[in-house]
This record gives sequence, C-alpha cells and structure tokens, in this order.
Amino acid sequence: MQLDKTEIVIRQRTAFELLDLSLLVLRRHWWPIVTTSALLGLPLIALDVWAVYWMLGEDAYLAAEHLVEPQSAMRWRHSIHLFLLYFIQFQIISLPTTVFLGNQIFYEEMPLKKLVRRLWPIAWRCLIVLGLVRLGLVSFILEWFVDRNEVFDWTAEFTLLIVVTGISLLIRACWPFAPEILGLELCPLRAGWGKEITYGQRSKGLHQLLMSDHMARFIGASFFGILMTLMILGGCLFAQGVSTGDWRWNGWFDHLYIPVAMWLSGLFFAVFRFLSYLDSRIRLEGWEIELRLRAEADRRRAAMLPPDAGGEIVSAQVTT
Amino acid sequence: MPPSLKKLDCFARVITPENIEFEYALAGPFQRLPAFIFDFFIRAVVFFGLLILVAVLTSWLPLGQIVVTILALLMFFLFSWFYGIFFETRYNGRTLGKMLFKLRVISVDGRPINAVQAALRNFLRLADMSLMLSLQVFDPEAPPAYVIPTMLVGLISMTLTPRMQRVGDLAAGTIVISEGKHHSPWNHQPEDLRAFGLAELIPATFQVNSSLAQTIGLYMENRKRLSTMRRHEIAKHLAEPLIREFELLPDTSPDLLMCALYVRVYLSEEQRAQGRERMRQTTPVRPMTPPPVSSSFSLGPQSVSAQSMSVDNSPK
Repeated sequence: MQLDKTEIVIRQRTAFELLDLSLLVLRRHWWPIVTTSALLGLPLIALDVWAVYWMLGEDAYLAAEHLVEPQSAMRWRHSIHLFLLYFIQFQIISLPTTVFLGNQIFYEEMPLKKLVRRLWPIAWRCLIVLGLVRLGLVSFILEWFVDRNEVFDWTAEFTLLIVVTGISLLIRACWPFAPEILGLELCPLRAGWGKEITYGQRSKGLHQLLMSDHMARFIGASFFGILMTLMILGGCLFAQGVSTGDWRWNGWFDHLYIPVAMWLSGLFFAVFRFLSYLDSRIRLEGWEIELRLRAEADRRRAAMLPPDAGGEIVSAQVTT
Repeated sequence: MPPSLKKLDCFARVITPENIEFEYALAGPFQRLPAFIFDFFIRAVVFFGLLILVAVLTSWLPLGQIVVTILALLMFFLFSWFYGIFFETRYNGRTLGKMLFKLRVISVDGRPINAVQAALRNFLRLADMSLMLSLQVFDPEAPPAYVIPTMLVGLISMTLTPRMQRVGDLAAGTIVISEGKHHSPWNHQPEDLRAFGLAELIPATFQVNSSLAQTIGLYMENRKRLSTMRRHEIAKHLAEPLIREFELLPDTSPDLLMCALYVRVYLSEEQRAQGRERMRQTTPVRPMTPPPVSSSFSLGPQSVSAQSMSVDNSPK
C-alpha cells in the first residue's frame, strides 16, 4: 500500500466541498456502493417495511375512524415510522460501504466476499455499538411492541418516535464516526494485552474537539438529506404521474417510492460521512501530512537498501 | 483498481486560448445552492418591496389595481429571467449570491462569460429545475399545470458531467468555479530560529526531489494547527531516518528538523544568512552536552541537540 497514493486528494475541505465531492465519489464507484449498501440495507429495509405494514391495513384504519381523514393519517404514521427506522439503523446499513470506501481510497480492491470476511470478526462489537448503544436494533424491536389498536401508542410508539429518535439524533450529531472507528480503525471495545486504543478512547479523541463542527455538519446534512429524499420522491411521482395519470399518494408511494428514496439518499450520505471522517482526521491529526511523511520515509528506506534487497530505487536528482 | 485513475477532487484544469493552464476549484450543486437561495431571497424581497411601493403610489388612481397587476407581472418576468443575465454580464460572471459565496461563472476555456452565454445559461435554468410535478399532486381536481420543480435534471447533470455543469452550463459552455483562498508553501518562516542553524548541519550532498520538497512544504503549511505532541508524532516518521542519515544526535527534535529542511529547500541563501544572523542575536549559547533527560518525548525547540547549537554558532 502506497500511503500517499490515495484516490481522493487528501486536503482540508468545507462541508459544501465535501458534499460535492461525495457526488464525484458516488459517480465513480456507484456500483460497489450500491452493492455494499444493499448488503445490510435491503434486508433491514425489507424488515422495516414488514414491521410497519399493518399501519396501512383495515384494522389500523378502523382504529383511526374517528379522525377526519383516517387513511391519510395512517399513511403519514406509516411513512414517519419507516423513515425514522431507516434513520436510526443507517449506521448499521452504511457499515459495509464505509469499509469499502476506506480501502478504495488506497486503491485496495474490496470485493463483496472479502468485505464479508473483513466484517465477520468485528460483527459482535458492531452489533453492540451500532445495534444496542446506538439503538439501531432496539428501534426495530420496539416497533413490534407498538399497540395496533391505538391511533397513537403512548408507551412504545412514544418511546420510539421521541425518546429513541431524540437520543439517536444527539448521538449521531455529536459522535458520528462510529462505523469508521469500528470498521476501518478496528478499535476493540476493551483494551487487550496489547493495550490497543479502545473504541471509547478513539471516539473521544476523534469527536470531542470538533463536536460543534460535527453538529453543524449534521444539521446541514439533514437538511440536504431531506431535500434529496424529496427530490427523489418527486422523480418517482413524476414517472408515475406521467405514465398513469395518477398523481396521488398511493400504495406504490408507501411500499416502493419511500424506501427507494431513503435508500438512494442514504448511499450519498454514507459517502458524505466517510469523507467527513477523513476531513476530521485531517483537521485534528494532520492525517494528510502524516501519510505523505510516512510515504517519503518508506521511499527513502527503500532507496537506502541495496538493489538486490528488492528496494525501490529512487532517483536522487534534484528536481526542486 | 489501478492507481493511474484520475484523483478525485473538485478541480478542473482549464487551458486558455493563449495556451496557459489554470486550475480552478469547481463548484458543484451543494456549493451553488446557498448562492441560488440567496439570489432567490433577494429577488423576492425586491419584488415584494417594489410591489408594495407601486401599490401605495397608485392607490389614488381609479385603475390602480389593474396597474399594480400589470406591473407585478412585468416585474416578475424581469426578475425571473433577467436578474441572472444582468448581474452575470455586468459583474463578470457573478450575481449577488455568487459574490457573497465567492463563486464565479467562467467559460470552459477560462475566459469571462459574455451576455449570450449568460442569457443561455439563465434561460435554461427552467430545464435544470425539471422534472416538474403537476399541481394535481396536491389536489386531483386542479388543472394539470407542471409547476412544482424537483431540480432532478440539474442534479443528475452536475453529477454526471466531469466539470459539474448543469444543462444551462453545457449549452452555454460555462463552468462555475469557487474562488476560495489558495495556499502556498513559500511564505512560512520557522518561528524557532535554531532551524536556520540546524539547516546548516544537513549535508551538502543531501538531495531533495520534488516529492520530498512538496511534503516538507505541506508540513510547514499545516504544522501550526497541530499540537506539539502531534507535530512530533508526525514528523518523526521522516525525521528519524534522516537523523540517522545526517548523523545528528538522536534526541534532535523531529519538528525542528522538518523546519530546518524547509529552510534548506525553500529559502534563498540570503534569507538563510539573515535567519542565522537573527539567531545569533537572539539565542543564548546552549551547553554542549545533551539535556539530562533525553527521550523520544523531548519535543520542540528545547530538544535541539547540543551538537547543532555548537555548530551553528560557529562562523560559516
């Protein structure tokens, strides 16, 4: 691995530049990003759709019949649940994409099989951090406890929509880079004999000094995320309206357009979060300089070796 | 994936008709959006401000309402279609929003845009705002008027084109660039003057290639934003082999050695001589022996080796 040979130019960028660069990365690697994102994304989204399907059934409409527009109210309820489940689970869904991108920037190929082999040993710690601490799987379990005979369940539904979402928002805004720390830096949850840096220590080091920056970026990204999801939904609606003449919010919208729109904008924001992680490391740790210095040191070391030792011979000519 | 793949960054190389190459920072949809929103806001404020003014001024006329309606339509038409054209032609590719967010529209060959280009890219804004949704989205009984923009065409066009051009830009042969500040590795003076002394200890035979020179420049550009500890950590990757190669004392500060390399590579002989002179005037002579506690944590200027101090105090 040549440490200064990165596919993305390593330099400090503004949040807007990172958003634009995310589009370029997505354009170049759209297929691996789609497949890696589908690895956990499709099963989880399918489970979410299954878990909230009942909200569009007759029983749910009957429970809401005292409302002015029960069908519309239940549609909104269904969409909000689906959207929040996806949002809370997004860090789990985007983990394979993060690992792919982390290797891709050093031109290291990461086919799907290799990616799965890479993720398998860290699955347990990812499950604990992303699934339990960051509530990704907790939210899914909670969804099953929502009372189906109520228009709004003040226990499980309130906990899911307000408490869990609130905690998740706070964690994601202030400590966004858990998938990168677990998937790329491979930090363990507890220090072993080697006294490795633990997940907690690394998270503190990476997030604490730039917390206000992270929050500002999170707010900006949320705005653009909602905008992008609406744009994609608009595109789906346009295709439906032009082809069938039906411009209304219907079953296709509930079961297909919303999950697709969320998933597609999720692809983009997985890339954006990874680029923000690089940017944080550059700002905090001078990562771009470290990579360059380490590469230079490697080159000098190789140049010092005799040719038969397999070292790379570098021309010593002054070219400044 | 071959490393020969073009590196990803929001930059475009432009070769002018005079065959001069420039590198511009491209502005994609997300950098342009705040300027677009600001321009929209300005237009809305001016439009409604003028509308209220006209309404007040014509309130005494018998046909006041009709006059206001006609003027409103006229102003709406002018603001919608000619705001961008006027400002981009008059102010060299910049609207008020672009001025605020440091963006500029230029031709793909690097020249300023002309009125025709400005008109074309602004008239085609409507295409970029497509796909348009029908009003029937909100009410099935509404007329099928396609007026709700999704802006998908513009976003897809900017994503797919290498210079992040929307349809209007492609038609007009323009790009939007960001005029942020550019960094230069040439204007950094090491604050620790002993770097000038240490630079003299680097063997005359030591040769610096362009890659190493760029690395040293990058380090100097950025070292001030790093903590002392982090500078030490980063610099030692390269400094440690060089300390051995130059036969300096092992506890020589890696950061100071990087500064010395910078002095050697980037500063002229005259600047180096001035630096040495300033160092002699300001720095007291340190003892010849190394500091009593020397470790890898001997950071910063204090850990410059006695050898280096003794040498750079001697006349050259």
